[in-house]
Amino acid sequence: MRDTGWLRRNRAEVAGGLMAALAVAAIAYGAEWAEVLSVPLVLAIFLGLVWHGRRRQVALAEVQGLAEMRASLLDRQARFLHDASHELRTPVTIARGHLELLRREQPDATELEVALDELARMERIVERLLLLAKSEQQGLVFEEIDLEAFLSDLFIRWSEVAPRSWRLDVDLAGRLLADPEGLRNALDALLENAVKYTDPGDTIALSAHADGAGGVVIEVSDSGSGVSPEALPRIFDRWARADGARTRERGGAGLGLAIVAAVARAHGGGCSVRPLPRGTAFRLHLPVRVPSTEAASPTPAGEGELAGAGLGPALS
Amino acid sequence: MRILVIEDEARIQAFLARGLEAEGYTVVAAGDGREGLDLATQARWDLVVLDLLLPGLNGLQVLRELQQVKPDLPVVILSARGDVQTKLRGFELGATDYVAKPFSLDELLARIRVRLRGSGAFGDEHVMRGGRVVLDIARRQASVGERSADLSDREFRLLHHLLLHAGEIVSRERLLAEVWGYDFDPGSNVVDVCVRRLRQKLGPDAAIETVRHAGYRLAAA
Repeated sequence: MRDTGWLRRNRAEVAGGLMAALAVAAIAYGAEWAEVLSVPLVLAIFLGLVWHGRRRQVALAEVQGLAEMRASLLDRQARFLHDASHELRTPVTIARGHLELLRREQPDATELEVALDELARMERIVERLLLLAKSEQQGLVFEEIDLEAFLSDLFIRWSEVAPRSWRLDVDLAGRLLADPEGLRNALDALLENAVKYTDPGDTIALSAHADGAGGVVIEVSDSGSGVSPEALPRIFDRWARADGARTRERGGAGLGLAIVAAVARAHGGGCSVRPLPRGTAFRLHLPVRVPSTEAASPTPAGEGELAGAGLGPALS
Repeated sequence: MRILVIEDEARIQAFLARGLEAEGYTVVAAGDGREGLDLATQARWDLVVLDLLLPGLNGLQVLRELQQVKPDLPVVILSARGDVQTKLRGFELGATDYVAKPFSLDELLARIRVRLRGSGAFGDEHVMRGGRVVLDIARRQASVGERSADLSDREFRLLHHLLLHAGEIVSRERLLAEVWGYDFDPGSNVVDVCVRRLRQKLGPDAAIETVRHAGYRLAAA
């Protein structure tokens, strides 16, 4: 690149010099006309090469410029998302606070419940937009988490939400390197989705097992109405909605699975979905488990040591 | 009970003040960090509600300086959700609690109530015992010997139920019905997961026994 650059800048001098040198040589050695005629030909080829090199360079610069523009556009988009969702928090907080004041005075007003419910929905959308922006900007903060305790807490919380046949199976002990907030949001989105497409009595299972390569696979499966085959390929896209059969849309779920994908990517992993004979299974693959050298990993007071110690019976 | 609210957003200040006054507290509000810190150090307060994004002096600076003068004054921080670093920094600097924006007024009031209880107005500690387990009903905190843990809602209810029936075998079916309000479901392991989590939190001395094919029992003594 540097060579062509030098040639390009000094093309005239180089060409002139070459021609002069050839002319001098032709006269001095009494070369025949035929040989002298080859001089402009060589020169033309040479200039052609220089021209080609230069064009290549311009094209490369153009491509590079486009890539940079795209990157800065994405970056700006993520920043915009982040700032916008951040800004939305204050008005949402104010509206919610005043509505809650009113509710204390009129505990039976259903209008207030509807307004508060919709605000809660807006909060979830805002939170998810923020998380999306954060995971796209590598804004996640990783720490070691006790996977079993983490999944148990999440599972117990969700078991309160809806009467389903809830199952948790964690086939591995140890710690995982993850952003707890991001991971919680991703799993919340998957469990929310599972609750939405199941009825009381259906099964929702959360499970985790080793992937055989030092990572973890977390799966959420349900025995619900399932996803239509046409909806599957685009299901992790932002605002992708499942088909008409799954109509009722609640609380920013259009972003839920996009969150799952973004969080998985930010962890260096991925996500997938597969239909079951009855229901659907979503998988989140996180490639970084902390090697279980228990002595090396500092655990908060008496948590880790107990998690793996097999206290009490295994989950029956 | 006197509460100082340091928050620059006038409309948040307004509903906080009204909500707290409705609970019977005396409320004074400050709109920037400097003014807030001066007020906090000069008068007597039972609790401070502190926003982190403040003009003048930011919330963490206010907290740092306040802690040097009044290390025992409870401070509840208000800040944007999910900012883990700030949250950790706040706790390092001695904050008592942390409520993320957007927050629910009901939740904030409940937390303030918990923080202020014990210092008089809401006294009346209510405690349940069974074997070595002590359950603080209002704080939803359980302790076994030196070890104590905050419990989630279901963990609390489950332990409460086991304590009510200490020494007896309580079936999974009954726990599922009493704690979750669900019909018996042999496919679900939610009761087992919750018991296991309780054991992790409380340690082996909590003595929640598994009785094969029957259920669980908390040792009475």
